[in-house]
Amino acid sequence: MRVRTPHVLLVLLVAAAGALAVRYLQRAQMEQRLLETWPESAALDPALVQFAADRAVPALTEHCAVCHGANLHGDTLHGAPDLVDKEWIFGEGRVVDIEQTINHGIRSGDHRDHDLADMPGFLRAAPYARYHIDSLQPAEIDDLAAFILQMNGREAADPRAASRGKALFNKALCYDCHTESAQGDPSIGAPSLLPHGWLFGSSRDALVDVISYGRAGICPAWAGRLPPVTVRAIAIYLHDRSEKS
Amino acid sequence: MNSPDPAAVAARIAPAPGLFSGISWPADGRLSLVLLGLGAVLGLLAAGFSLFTAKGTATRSVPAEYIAVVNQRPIYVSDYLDQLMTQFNVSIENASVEQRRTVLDEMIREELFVQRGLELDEPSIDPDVRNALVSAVQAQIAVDATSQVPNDAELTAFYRAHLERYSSIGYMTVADLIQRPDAGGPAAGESLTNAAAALHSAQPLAVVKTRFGLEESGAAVGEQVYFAAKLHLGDRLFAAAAGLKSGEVAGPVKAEDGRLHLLYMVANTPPQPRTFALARNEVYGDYRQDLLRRIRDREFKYLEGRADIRINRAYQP
Repeated sequence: MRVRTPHVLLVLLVAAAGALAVRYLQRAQMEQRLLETWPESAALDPALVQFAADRAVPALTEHCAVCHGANLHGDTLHGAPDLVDKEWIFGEGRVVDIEQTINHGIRSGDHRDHDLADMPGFLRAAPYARYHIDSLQPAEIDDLAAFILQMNGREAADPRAASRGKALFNKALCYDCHTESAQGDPSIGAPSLLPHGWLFGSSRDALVDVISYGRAGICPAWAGRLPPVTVRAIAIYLHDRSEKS
Repeated sequence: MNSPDPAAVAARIAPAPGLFSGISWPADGRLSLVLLGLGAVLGLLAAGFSLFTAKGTATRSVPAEYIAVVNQRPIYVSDYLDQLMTQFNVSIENASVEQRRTVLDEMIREELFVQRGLELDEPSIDPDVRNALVSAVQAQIAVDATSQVPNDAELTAFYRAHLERYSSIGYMTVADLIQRPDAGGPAAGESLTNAAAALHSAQPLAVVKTRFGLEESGAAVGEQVYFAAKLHLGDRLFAAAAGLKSGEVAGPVKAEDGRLHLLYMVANTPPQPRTFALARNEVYGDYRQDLLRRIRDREFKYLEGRADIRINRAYQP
């Protein structure tokens, strides 16, 4: 039997189109499953987690790596937290918490963003824009820094300074956000003051600067900029990596 | 050249016998007119159904990213999940049927009222709705500004252009000396001048105070940040003190209280530019505010430019 070249090409073309169509339909079906499965349940489904990873990684590389670093372990220059460790500054690390942060951002201006508190700048005349807090003297800030360093197992140059700093921790209302145990409060985004919670570097100079001049990190709101399925995929991927870390 | 046989041509273009072979078609092109009329009637029926019933154009299936579609307006699953968390502090897995139904009912109710509010043109009547709309548009601009993450080159340029904003806050420990009321001897001016000379010659502060009958005014006790020192000392004394290095003396200076003061600087740490790395978070915040202001101005100019605004001549400002 003679096989003519145009016929072969036509068959190949139809086969390729069929394969693409099947792939597109499979993908569409997975996207639908990802959105329709309840978030925490989706995070337990290996097929969905794998699909989420394939979808999330390019989006994370394009939009998030600029602040959080290529490996997503955070960047102290940007004050951007590690996205794949077990510490969550906002929320409890559930898929739905992560999804909310991605959708609405942090101090982004979105009506549903996380924007309940900032770190005051205690050396300033008016340390806090939201309500009145007394300023601290430079020496008091040194004492506070000594106390926090001591809490982190780092030896203070002057042990009495750490002791004074402990009293100041209450006087300056630090506990109000960071809690008495200094473990932070994820409902308002106050980071832990214990190891791993330091967003802006662990040097003494960085710590003194944070206490003196304050901080208020920003994360954009992605709702409307990223498709809902991508947001869900990122949330599931980050949750998965965090759980495995 | 031979012309084609008309009978053969007619046979070629005649409809093949089959499905419609039993129907007698109107002759003389009336078929096209009948089909055209039928199409028009069907089109009008569909348009009327769509126009007079919202359900006429309703999507039959709800896309996966929406939890509901109300008159073609979607309610997002993500908003529903947020609302469940906000209202009951539960994820959907742990929410009861009652909680899920409550949130969904409330969101549908809200959507219906919003749509009704637009039908009633509430934005043009209710000042609260107007304010809410203005702030919503401004917030949306802020969201847009936030999504434009600047690179470090842009931030560094902004930092350099506004270096004065990113200086550390200076602080000083200064002895603000005045003559004791019970001090005898020469007049305050002479006494303070002599005290200044003694301090210049490196005599200890305590000795000079005793020798010349001086005391500290009590205005600036201990270490003071610059803004506090300015507040406590007053503008004139602060201006004289700020330029002193540790161990230097200024005065006598006549302060706002009318008395002569002598200033001895124990320690002075003037403001220094903070490094970009330390100030970056603040630079980003300021950059964003600056960008936001520019975008809002641009948005307003754009809206103003495309708007037809006419002002009553009697009320021209």
